[in-house]
Amino acid sequence: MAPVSAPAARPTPTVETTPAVRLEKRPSAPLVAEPQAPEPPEELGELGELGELGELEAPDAPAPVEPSAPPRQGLSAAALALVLVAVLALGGAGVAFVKAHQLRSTDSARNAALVDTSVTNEVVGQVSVALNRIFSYDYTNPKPTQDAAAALLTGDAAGQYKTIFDALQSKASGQQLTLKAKSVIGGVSSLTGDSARLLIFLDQSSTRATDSSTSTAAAQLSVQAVKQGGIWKISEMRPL
Amino acid sequence: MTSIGATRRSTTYAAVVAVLGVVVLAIGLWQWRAADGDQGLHYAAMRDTVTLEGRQDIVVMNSLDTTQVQAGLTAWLSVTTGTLHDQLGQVSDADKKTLASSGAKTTGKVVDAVVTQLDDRAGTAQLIASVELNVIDKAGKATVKRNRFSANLTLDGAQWKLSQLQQVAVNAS
Repeated sequence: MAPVSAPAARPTPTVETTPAVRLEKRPSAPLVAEPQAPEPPEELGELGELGELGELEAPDAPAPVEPSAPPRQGLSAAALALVLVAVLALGGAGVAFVKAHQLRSTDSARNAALVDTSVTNEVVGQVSVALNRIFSYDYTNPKPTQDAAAALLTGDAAGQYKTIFDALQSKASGQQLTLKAKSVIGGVSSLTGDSARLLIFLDQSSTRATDSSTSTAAAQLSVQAVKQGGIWKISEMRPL
Repeated sequence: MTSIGATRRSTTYAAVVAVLGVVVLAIGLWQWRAADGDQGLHYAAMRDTVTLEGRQDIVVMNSLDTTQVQAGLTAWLSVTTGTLHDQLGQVSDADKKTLASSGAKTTGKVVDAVVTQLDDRAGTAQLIASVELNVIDKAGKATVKRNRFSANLTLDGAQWKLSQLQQVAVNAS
């Protein structure tokens, strides 16, 4: 039984088995390849997603109306509209600021004379008193006049006054002259910051002790004043 | 590569810029409106108008060619109002003849003038002026005089006119 079965078993199974195994192995390759076939559906699924993205981008593209450039720059219609609003608003703001500046920067607008009542009155008051003091002179006591001149005059006015005063003093000592100045009325024509220009009408009466004669003169002075250390000083004066 | 996130981000930036732009515009318009309605600026402009027109009025009142008295009087009437205007309108023919007989020609020039008071609501102002008078007499001899004036002005229609004009006299005291 064994030899019979053995030869029967030897040729058939071995011969048949090997090709059977080989055949089985070979079809197994297509069988393995068959499971690989479902893989493309996965790839198709990915393609499907890409297709969906393409569909999502599609409505964006026609919206800007200019299909070529805008989508690549990433600006939507809403963003463009907002940028336009910003540009127009800033343009309008620029015009408004320029107009406001023009209104405030005219010579008239910068001149605070009379507009700033307190400063205007302060300048007129202080300059009037200063003129009264420097143009009043007592030959027996010239020091107050000199002190006032030193304290209230500055710049060109100091030199201008010295010329007047020296002439006055040489004449006054001989004639025993007493001068009394009084500012009658005055006003500010321009006032900007710490600088002012004024017109002052001044009366000056002179008395000669030698013959007790008195005379009064009318003066009109154009005065430039500057505020230094809290007080208005005369920096220039010119008889008109 | 554009994406939904980038698009949203750029829209947000654009919105922020737009809002800032509108805010700046609002500030600008407010500034303009404030300047336009600024009482001080209007007052300053009126002061300068008073100075300018007051000077012109004073020049007219200080100028007279006595060979043309009537023309001079007409000019005086055009720059005056109120009492002063009424007084000038009552100049008699005898006075006109007296003026004409002098044969002098006077030309006034305002050297300096300053507004000392201004009531913008009432339309009244006071101005002081230093005036130089050039007088040429019948013989052709010229003399120069200095005068100081105080003037009251009144807004008559759209023009500032003199309602009073007087010399600031020397006060010997």
